[in-house]
Order: sequence, then C-alpha cells, then structure tokens
Amino acid sequence: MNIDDITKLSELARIDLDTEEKTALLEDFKSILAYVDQIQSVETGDIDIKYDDENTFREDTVVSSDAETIKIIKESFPDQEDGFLKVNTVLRNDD
Amino acid sequence: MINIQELTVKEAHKKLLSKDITVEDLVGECLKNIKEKNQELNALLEVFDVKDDVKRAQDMIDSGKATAITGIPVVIKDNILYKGHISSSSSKILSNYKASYSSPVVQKLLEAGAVIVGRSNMDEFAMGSSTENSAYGVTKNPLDTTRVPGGSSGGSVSALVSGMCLFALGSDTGGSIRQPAAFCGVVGFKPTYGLVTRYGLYSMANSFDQIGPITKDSHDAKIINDFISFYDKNDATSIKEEIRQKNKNDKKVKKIGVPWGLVDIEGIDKETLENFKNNISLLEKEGYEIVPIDLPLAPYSLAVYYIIMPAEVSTNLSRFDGIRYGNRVSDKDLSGVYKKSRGEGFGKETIRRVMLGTYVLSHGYYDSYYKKAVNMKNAITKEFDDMFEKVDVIATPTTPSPAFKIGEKTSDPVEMYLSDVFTSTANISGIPAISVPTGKHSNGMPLDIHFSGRKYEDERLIDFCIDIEDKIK
Repeated sequence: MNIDDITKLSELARIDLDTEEKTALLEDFKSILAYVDQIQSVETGDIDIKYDDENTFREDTVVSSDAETIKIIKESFPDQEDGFLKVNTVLRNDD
Repeated sequence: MINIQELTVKEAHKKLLSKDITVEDLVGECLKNIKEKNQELNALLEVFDVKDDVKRAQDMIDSGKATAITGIPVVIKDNILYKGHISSSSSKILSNYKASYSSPVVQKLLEAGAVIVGRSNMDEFAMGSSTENSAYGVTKNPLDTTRVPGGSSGGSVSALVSGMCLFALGSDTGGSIRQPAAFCGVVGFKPTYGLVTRYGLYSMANSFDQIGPITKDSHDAKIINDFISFYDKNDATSIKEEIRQKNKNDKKVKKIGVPWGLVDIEGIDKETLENFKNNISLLEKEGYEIVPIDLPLAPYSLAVYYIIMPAEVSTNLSRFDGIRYGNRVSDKDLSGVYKKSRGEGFGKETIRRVMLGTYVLSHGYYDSYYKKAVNMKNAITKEFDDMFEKVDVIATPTTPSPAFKIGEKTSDPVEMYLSDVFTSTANISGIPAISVPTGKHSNGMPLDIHFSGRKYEDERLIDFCIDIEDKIK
C-alpha cells in the first residue's frame, strides 16, 4: 500500500485530505492491517448460522409527518430557498 | 440531605414514594453536581430544561401512577435521538442537528416519568475507547481526572459516577458500555443483539450496536433493562415477543466457564489477572462450579471486529454529506461539497475507520478481508453458542488493564483498540454481557469482571450478577 492508494480511497470515501493526513493514515493502515491479518491464518470454511429473526416487510406507502416534525426537518437544511432544500447545480450546460 | 453518589434507582424510588424526598430535591441535587463538576469533567454536552418533566413526574407520584423510574434523573448518550433536542453524536458535522423524532427507548423513559437531564459526551459516532475522540473535548474520569473514563460512553459513565444522574444510557458496539463502566467502577450491560431497538440510535456498526443501561449496581441494571427491552417494528432486527418468551430461562446459574486461553494473554496487567483469579476462587467458594473452557476462535474476535465494524461504519456514515442536514462546506461542485463537508466535519478516528472500511470493501480485498471476517464471525458465534450448552455463563476480566492516563494511547490506534479485546467477543457473537466492579488496583482505579450469557438469557445473566456482586466486591 502506498500514498496513491490512500488518495484513491479518499476519493471513494468522499473525504478531502491533505498530504500530511494521508501520510499519517498510511502509517496507521500498516499497523492496523498487520493486526487484522492474523485472521488469514485461520481456516473456517463457509459457516452458516441460524438466525431467529426474519425479513421484515411493510407496504411501500407514503406516511406523512406532523407539522412540527416537518418544521424540525426543514430547519436542519444547510441551505434553502422558498422552503425547498438547496444544493449546487448537478447538471451544467457547458456550451 | 441526599447522598446522590451512593443512591441507587431502587432506593431513590422508595424515598420518592414515601415522600422522604421530592422529584425536585432529587433533580436539584443532580443539577447542583452538574454545575459544580461538569466544567472540569466535560461529561455532559448539554443540560436540558426539565421544569415541566419534574412537575409531571411529581404529579405521577402524587396520583399513585409512579413507575420504578418516575422522577429518576437520567442522561442519554449523544447518539440517541430525543425529538426537538440537538443530537450530535459528538461530531462537528452535526453540531446543530436537531432530532426530528425520538428513539422509542427515550419515548419509553419519558412515558415512565424519568427525567432526562442532559446528553452526554462520547467518542465521535461512538468510535473510541477513551472519550478522547469527541469534537467537544475530552471527558475525564471522576475518580482520577488525569485518567480517561473509557469510551465511547465515557460521558454517560462520568455523569453517573459524579452524581449528575442516577442512571445513564450508553451504546455498545465493541465494548462501549462495559469498558467505561469498568474504568469507573459501575455496572454496564450490553443486551443480546436485537432485544433493544436501534431505531433512533445513530448506526455505527449496525450488526453490533445495542443501547444498554449504565447503573450503580446490577439490580438497577435489571430495572432499567426491563423498561428498554421490547419489540419494535421500526427496527428490522428487533426480536419478536414470542422468541423472547420462548427463550426465557429462570434456572439459577451454576456453571461458570473460564476461557483461560483468552484471559491469560500477553499484555494483560498483572493485578488485573490476579484480581480475576481471586474472583473466580471466591465464586467457587460460593458453590459455583468453575469449568475451564477452551474457545480457540474467540481471541480473533477483535481482529474480526476491526474488519466488519469499519466496513459498516463506512457505509453508515455515507449519509453525512452536508446535503440534507448537518454542516455544509460550500465548493464549486457537488462532489467538492461532499468531500469538504466530510473532510472538515469528521474527526481523525472517524476518518481512519471510514477509510479502512472503504478499503476492506473494495474490489480485490473484499474476499480476503470482509468475506473472511464474516465467516469468522459466524464461526465465533457458533463456538459461543455451543459452549453455552456446557456452561451457564462465561467469565473474563472486562478490560486487560484499568483506566489509563489521558493521552497515553492516542498515538497508537492498535494499542487503543486492544482495550476491547475481551468485550468485543459478545458483540461478534450477539450475546448479552455485563461488567461488574470488583476491587481496586494499587493505583486506586477500579477493577472489574465480565460475564457473558446465552443469547436471550439477559435476565438470567443480570439475576446472577445480583446474587454475586456483593460477594466479589
């Protein structure tokens, strides 16, 4: 593993990191992976265990929230316009 | 005069019913302790306005409608949602996030008349063993403020021990209730996976997370567990009532298994091990049958944990992107908003685990890490399930050493992770487990013993601890 791998991972994880942070993470990864690698020497094969719980299904219906709940949720929007959540432009016309 | 630090939920309830004290007296004492001690300990992140709750609780008592926890002050960990209140999981990215609904566990406490006095500090998103990873500063151990209280539920435990409440709720993913309870000399209980709803608890590693009580003694743990353990349709892994009933076991615990191969590991503190051996001898004298057992796969639990847990962390934390809630850092495009919001909003340990999880789930490593670890998890679960055909409970110390100094283990993540070497076994195998204080180390810090029980036999495990806790103190 090298610093380029860390950069790729940070892209995948959508986390902005500077070089210093990446270097520190590379060091941490080495010691953590060395520790967890101990499981590679154990042979278990595929083991199925029985679970008591089962899949839980529900109807896919719209359940509306009360006004107070909606108010709290809207207050949590980092940015808004006319009561709608506002985000950056996703599609751009570059012409 | 109420001595809050000695008072249990059970005794307080009696005093409230007999009108020896009022709810206002009780809550007032806690608020006084908060005022005097929280600045130094940093156990609570926020103290709630409880005037109405105090009045409501007193009315319940006066009209004969009190439950066992009516009027009892409690603090909840900052990752448990309480509608209309900030719940930040001790993260910078959620510093102003207000919960839009309450966890059914919180709902239950409120219905029963408990008074939620505040939310407690924790390692960010419950990742840590020392409460040093909070975006809002370190929590200190009330028994020695140069030491950590353990983590990640360190704020909850610190608040209980310093008299800011009479019980606290924590969450336990790899030991986050039991390890801090052990570090501060109180009882911490992690229920069987699925017995306490996870709805309204921030998902860290959802295959392992459980809410549980932190209390002064095992009897209080039983009282609180009775309130918070119920089926909830909003949690798809919640165990249905009929399965709970079917698996009830009222038989007294007789056989205690001791996995010496797991306990006597390199790096275990000498006095911790000595104390554990003494506890086992005492239990033998009390008439319990001590059975040396072999759990060859159990020592791999922590390594398995450090693969599956970060994998789940990396997926669960993908929802924190600065879009719908939480703090947003603006940038020229959407992808930049994600990366900057997360990069600035997440602390060091959180980033470490999200990155590690992304790695073990990525193409080329999935089979050798994640898939392998899931197989190991199943094998360890089976090993414990089979062992509970032979013994009733399994004993180990809770932690390999008592509370360490603040800053002592922050530079070496693996060293820190090893705090959970005994406790993580119960999360991997989904079984109930409890930490009970027993004796003191020569450095003055509490020592502890850890018991795990058969899946679903939570009450039996706590009842056993009620029987023995005074004998091993």
